[in-house]
Amino acid sequence: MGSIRKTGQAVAFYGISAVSLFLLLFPFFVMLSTSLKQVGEVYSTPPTWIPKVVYWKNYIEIWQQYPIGRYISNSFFIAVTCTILNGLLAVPAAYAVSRLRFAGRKMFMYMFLVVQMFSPVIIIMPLFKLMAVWGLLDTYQSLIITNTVFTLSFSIWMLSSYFNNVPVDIEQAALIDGCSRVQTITKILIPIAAPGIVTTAIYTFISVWNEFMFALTFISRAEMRPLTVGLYNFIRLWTINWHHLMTGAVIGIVPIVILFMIAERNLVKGLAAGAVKS
Amino acid sequence: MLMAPALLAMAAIVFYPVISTLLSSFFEMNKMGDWVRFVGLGNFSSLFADKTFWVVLARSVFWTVVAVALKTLAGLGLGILLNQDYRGRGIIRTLIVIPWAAPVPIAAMIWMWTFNSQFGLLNHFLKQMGITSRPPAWLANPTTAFWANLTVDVWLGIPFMALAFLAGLQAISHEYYEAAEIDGANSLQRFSYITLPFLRPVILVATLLSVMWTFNDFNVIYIITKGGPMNTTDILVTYLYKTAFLFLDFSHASVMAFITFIVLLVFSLAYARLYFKEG
Amino acid sequence: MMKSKWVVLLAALCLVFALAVSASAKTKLRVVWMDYDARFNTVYQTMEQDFEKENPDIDVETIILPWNEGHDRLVTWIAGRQAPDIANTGTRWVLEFNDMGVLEPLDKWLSPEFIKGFYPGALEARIKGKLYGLPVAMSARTLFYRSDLISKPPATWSELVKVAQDVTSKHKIYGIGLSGKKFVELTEFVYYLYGNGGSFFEMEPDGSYGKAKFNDKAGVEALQFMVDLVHKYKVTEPNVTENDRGSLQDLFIAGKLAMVETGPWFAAMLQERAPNLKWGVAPMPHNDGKPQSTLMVTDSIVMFKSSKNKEAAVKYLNFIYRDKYRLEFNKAFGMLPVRASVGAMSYFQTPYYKVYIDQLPRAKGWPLMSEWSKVEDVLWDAVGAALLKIKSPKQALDEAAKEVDAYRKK
Repeated sequence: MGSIRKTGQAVAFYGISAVSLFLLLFPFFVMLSTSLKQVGEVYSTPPTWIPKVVYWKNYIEIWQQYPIGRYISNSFFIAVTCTILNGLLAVPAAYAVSRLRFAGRKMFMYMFLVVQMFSPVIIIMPLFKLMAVWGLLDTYQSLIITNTVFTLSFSIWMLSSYFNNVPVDIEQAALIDGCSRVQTITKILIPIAAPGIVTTAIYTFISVWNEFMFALTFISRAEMRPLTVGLYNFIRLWTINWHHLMTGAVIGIVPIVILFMIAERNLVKGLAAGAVKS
Repeated sequence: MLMAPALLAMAAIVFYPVISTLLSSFFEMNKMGDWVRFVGLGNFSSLFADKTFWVVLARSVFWTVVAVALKTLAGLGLGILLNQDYRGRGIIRTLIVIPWAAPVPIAAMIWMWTFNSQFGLLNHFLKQMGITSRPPAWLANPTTAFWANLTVDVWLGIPFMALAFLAGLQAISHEYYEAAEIDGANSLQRFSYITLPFLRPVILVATLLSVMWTFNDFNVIYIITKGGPMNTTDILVTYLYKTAFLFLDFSHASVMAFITFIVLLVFSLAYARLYFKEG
Repeated sequence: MMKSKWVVLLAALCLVFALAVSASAKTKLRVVWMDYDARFNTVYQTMEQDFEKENPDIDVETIILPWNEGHDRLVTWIAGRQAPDIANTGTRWVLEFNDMGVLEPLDKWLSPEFIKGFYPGALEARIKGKLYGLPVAMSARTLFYRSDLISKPPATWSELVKVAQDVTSKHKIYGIGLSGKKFVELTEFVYYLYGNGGSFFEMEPDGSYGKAKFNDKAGVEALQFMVDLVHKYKVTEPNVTENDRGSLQDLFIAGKLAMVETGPWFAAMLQERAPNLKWGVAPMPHNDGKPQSTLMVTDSIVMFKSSKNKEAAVKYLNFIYRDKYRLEFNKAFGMLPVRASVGAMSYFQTPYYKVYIDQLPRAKGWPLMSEWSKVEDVLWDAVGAALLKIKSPKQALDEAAKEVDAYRKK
């Protein structure tokens, strides 16, 4: 009886999983399939599910015709730098919020929420002027600074809740043993809260990697563009090179997917430990 | 001291633009976006006289409510599914979050092509499965275009929801369920007396964030339909962009930003009250 | 310990800022070109390199913007006081930018002989006697048709319907493309409006624009004809409001459309992307009994008042108008010549170019007014509403006229 119920359950699980996977991944299938089609087949009716002729050359053409490698390394550099800076700024702040009895957690949460109330589109004009005054247009710095700051309040909020979960006793013991505050942070807090820090870092990385509006506005030189803007420029006035666009999309999405695969377990654990038990 | 750098950076990069935008709504601005003179609530009253604004505002609210509801339900379902113990759920979990990993503008472009009524695979699929022999040209008609945009927005938002709920579910100790089972509670009762109350804070936070992201979702609509056909898929944020960058009417764009802020602020204050009451 | 961490952090931030301010001694020239994009090409890079070779003290930075982003980027830069020295714009934007007070009049910088070298009709960007932009690209719109399916291209609307019906029933292909999705310009309404003897605005005696006129008989007929093509004759692709001009061209390339109304760049695209397709060009069809006309569009290159290197910018302008680079530009993008010396070259003495050049005397441009962005948006919505049968053409255009007049009065 139990085993039948179990089999039934398993069938249901796999069935539902399959349907949701199909719905969620359908566009990616379209992407993959189109990226392997020749121009002629892209515009065939009825459309084909699997390319009649698998045309790998799109992947070569895209490397030859567009500085796609440059776009990727731009995105990567910006995202990594932001993630590191974000960590450096957020960890002490989150520590202060969580330990020094500073009534700031609520404040950071509100700050974070206030930031979310303004779509980048809304504040892009004053930000652009700010960057112009600072002479940072067309630099990585402009994107690094903006993205770091825009992800900061979320990081502080998240991290502080992880830190809250670390028992204060351990830390006090360390303090009594002669550790400085900084040592307690680096030696005790950070290792214990590692999953949370990783989660926050990944979240930051992805937000920055996917950022579009700032990059579109601050960067005008082609060689400085991150991948999102680089690919967006495949939409041209008179035509969209769909096959190349999709090829570029595959190239752009793969690194993130790999990152997810590596970090997925941590991500859920981190979210569980942090956001939930607040 | 520990927070000074973080606060300083935020003050410059976040609060300066925000405050400058909010103040701008009380000024008449020229086409360069400079303040010309203080007009008090003048910009507000002229914007309120514009019928399109009200239609767009109402649409934004409708868009947000429906999209967030769908995301939450789907996310909850997926979260519960992934919380079950069965082989291969690790890989499924990874695959399901992929939509989150795709840069939004790129994902929007992929969808645009999928929706294409001539060459897109969606209509081809509907025909092949015998669901309909004459599928609509999704992006060509106001109603279908609205739902098409909404689909993309929901699709993008599901993974975050699913992950958040999954995390919340994993934090619930098994003992509660075991105890409930011994007491003879059925699965529906277990869900409504254990799962939901425990998930409540996660649901509150996740939906609150989702409301803000959805209300301000610019990229999807801007890329897929540009607010068309006619103005029928414009929401406040795309209408605002058009007002500022196409018509160079920065004053009214600022007012719309102000109103977006107020709407979301009132909403989140009410929401936060709920949240902190619990916590 | 804690301090040292901050020192490192500060040092890192300083480094980040310091990198930003490294400057060079050369005169810098920021030039914005639009991506005409007919094919992958290097015209702009060639011009930059050759110019720098001749002027080693000037460092040109060429920024290429896609057209659909161009307007918004330029507006952002202008408002942020970061305008480039020189920019390639749509001529209809010149009015708008001039309204912002940021354009430099060009007459005093360029020799009269140089200015005389342009076709007078191409010099659209003259506002109150001052020249604010030089034409860089000119196009007249024509009818592209599949010459293997259509033996004689239609000259009038009634022929157009007949040919389209014929080809639709015989070859299972859409007769003529029509686009109803918002795009950077109001095609195809303008073609039918001009082809019906209509125009957008009344002209005041002093040459300025008066009230909206697009809702008169000519305008309503034009829009009605478009609606009929879709709903009565059913000779267009069914999903007109999904497509913009780009998608129509893609349809034609894919062999799904028998006729499409567009500009000369399309020839360059066809050669590259569909070398086996048989096609021809014909003058834009007009309503029976009305004179033939079409849309002529120029794009202009402007210099900004804020430029600190106007001498260098003028040098660059003179340089790029050399026949050699003009020919290369026109060849790459399929555009029509704007200078008489280039137009006289043998490259343009072909039957293909004759179709365009013959149309020019009867062709009309866009209304040149600073409110055009808004007008165009309102009209797009009107056209969309009519095509979707939400409003009748008359109602849609009447309401649009009311809105436009009210807006322009402000």
